[in-house]
Amino acid sequence: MKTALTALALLATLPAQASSKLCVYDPAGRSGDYFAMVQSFADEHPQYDLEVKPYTDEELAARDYDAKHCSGVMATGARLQRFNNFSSTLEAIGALPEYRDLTAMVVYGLQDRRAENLVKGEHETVGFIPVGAVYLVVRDRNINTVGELAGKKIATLDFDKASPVMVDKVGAIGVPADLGTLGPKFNNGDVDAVYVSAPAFEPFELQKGIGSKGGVLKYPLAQATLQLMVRSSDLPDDFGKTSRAWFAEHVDDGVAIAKKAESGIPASSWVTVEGTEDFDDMFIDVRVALRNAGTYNGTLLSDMRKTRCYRDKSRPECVEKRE
Amino acid sequence: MKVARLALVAGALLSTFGCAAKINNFTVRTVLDRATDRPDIDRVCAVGNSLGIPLMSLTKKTNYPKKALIVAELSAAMCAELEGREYALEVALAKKNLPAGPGKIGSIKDARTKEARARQLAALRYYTAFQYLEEEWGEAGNECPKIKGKDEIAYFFGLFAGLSGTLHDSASGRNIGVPQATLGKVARATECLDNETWWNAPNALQAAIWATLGGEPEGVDPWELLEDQAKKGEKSGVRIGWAALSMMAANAGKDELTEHAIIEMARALETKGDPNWMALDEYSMMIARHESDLIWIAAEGHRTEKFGELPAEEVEVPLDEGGGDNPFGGDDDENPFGGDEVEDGDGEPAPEEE
Repeated sequence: MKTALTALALLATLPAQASSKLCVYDPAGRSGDYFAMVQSFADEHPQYDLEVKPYTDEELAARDYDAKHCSGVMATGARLQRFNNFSSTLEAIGALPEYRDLTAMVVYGLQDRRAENLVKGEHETVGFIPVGAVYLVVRDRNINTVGELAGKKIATLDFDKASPVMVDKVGAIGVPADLGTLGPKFNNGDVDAVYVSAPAFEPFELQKGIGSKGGVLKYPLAQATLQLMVRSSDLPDDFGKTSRAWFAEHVDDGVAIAKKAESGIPASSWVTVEGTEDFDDMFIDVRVALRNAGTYNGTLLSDMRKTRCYRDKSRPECVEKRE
Repeated sequence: MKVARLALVAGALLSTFGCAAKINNFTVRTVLDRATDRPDIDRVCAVGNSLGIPLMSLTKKTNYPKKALIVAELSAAMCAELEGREYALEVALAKKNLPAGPGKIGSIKDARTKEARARQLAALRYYTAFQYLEEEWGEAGNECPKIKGKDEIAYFFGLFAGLSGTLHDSASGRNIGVPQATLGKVARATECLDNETWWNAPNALQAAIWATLGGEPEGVDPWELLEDQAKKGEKSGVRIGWAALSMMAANAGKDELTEHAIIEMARALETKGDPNWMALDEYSMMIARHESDLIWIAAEGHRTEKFGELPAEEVEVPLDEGGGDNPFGGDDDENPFGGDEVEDGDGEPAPEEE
């Protein structure tokens, strides 16, 4: 009798069908805006039985996904490049100068027509959240041309494969940093420039490093995004399509957060960039080099070039078509 | 007689009218002292709720009793915070217990909205308290101001309010617009307080912010530091450190650390708290218990049964070990769990249970 009861107890504790865990990086963790967005998606789609787990350490989230502790991960495109370099190419240097370029890509460019490219092996990218245009923040506002960047020390994030190439191209000196040291290095003068999106501006107190002489170059280097990636076999077949459509519907929410943060930067700190064409030329050279090296995906670079040219067909690249 | 009483009250008010220093002293020394003697946060927050506006009305707008108002706004914020936490549990209960369907989605969304509204109000009140700190002592995080010993508690509360205001604003859509730079300011300003006098809470707050934002000195692990301060602080009888660790670990998704902090908090509570700060100790317990409740609801569908205990882990039965038939696939005669003896996969009788 005792053993029968033991057996019943064992049966009762057999794990129920496990929910699919999404490991979600948000610098603010469970309290963050981006975590809340994924949570909303999970709330509205109970049929997928999603468990949303916060991470404040992005690499740990990616590693846990890699180790199959989670069915999905949300992290920056740069961090997820190792799984699928098509979707990470959305963050290519200088590829999407305006928010409308980015939203056009998310809403139209990265849906069904490119569904096959969004799958690589067992990994499928199923959502994009804009986290803001990336700007160069400088301690000396005279550093506002490509030429002025030569010899300057720029903090580069260790996992970002693209920025060292750009730093090399302009003759600057890359100083390795991570998200914890980026702010102090800039504010203490250990580096001359850092590149961040506006939501990072206040928490890192970059205004201290800017002081009265520095500024924020008003010409986006790239568009940072958080991307949701899942292991396709862990979720139903319709998940990718449903999820991408939901995040596309909410793309403006991410842009709004970024714009609100940008509006919090004092007007006097913004620096108008002279000669944006020089930046554009440099950006194209870097993108082509990274495409040839296999870091960027040529198909998406081409799609983004078409998006830029659709908005402004007078751009020289629309004739040259190097991408 | 009635006229005499009214005259007495009016006289008391008049004696403090226009004198912010007296109101500060009375509130920070006497009201706070009495209010924190009992583990009754409801009453503390009710005092804060009702005290704020009368306190502001006793002086000119240019001369508010700011230290008193830090205390009033902070305790009023606690009311909204606890309400918000209650709605967060409502969300978790709906997710766990309601059957799938539109009703479930609606209930979850409604509870989330209520949570966000309450947290927004908490953020407003906490941030107002922090602003009073900066009005009184100047911008936090720069050079340390001169703080009289008896006012240190108001300074500590102001910093705590800065951190809490930022977190609740962030968790409710940033509608209050608490500047994100507040966290860095608070982290630096904690160094203006004597750590041991205030239950090791200043260093614990600093470590909590470093754990979220970075900026810690080289070689310092903020999570280890936070735990270390929680351990050291528990001897004081005000266990804010363990509360901070449970909350920040949960925020960062560190499940094991969250559970560890909850268990340690419960263990620490076996020792009597500081009789002068019972309310603060109670608040700390409530923060940790909230995290415990979320764990319990996710696992069992209800709140914590006994604080300090966690839901039992599910036991996984290794169905494919030993090479035998699936015990749940065959008929009853072959079910090894149906007989009198439990056997291992190798066919040998299991050792007798002690």
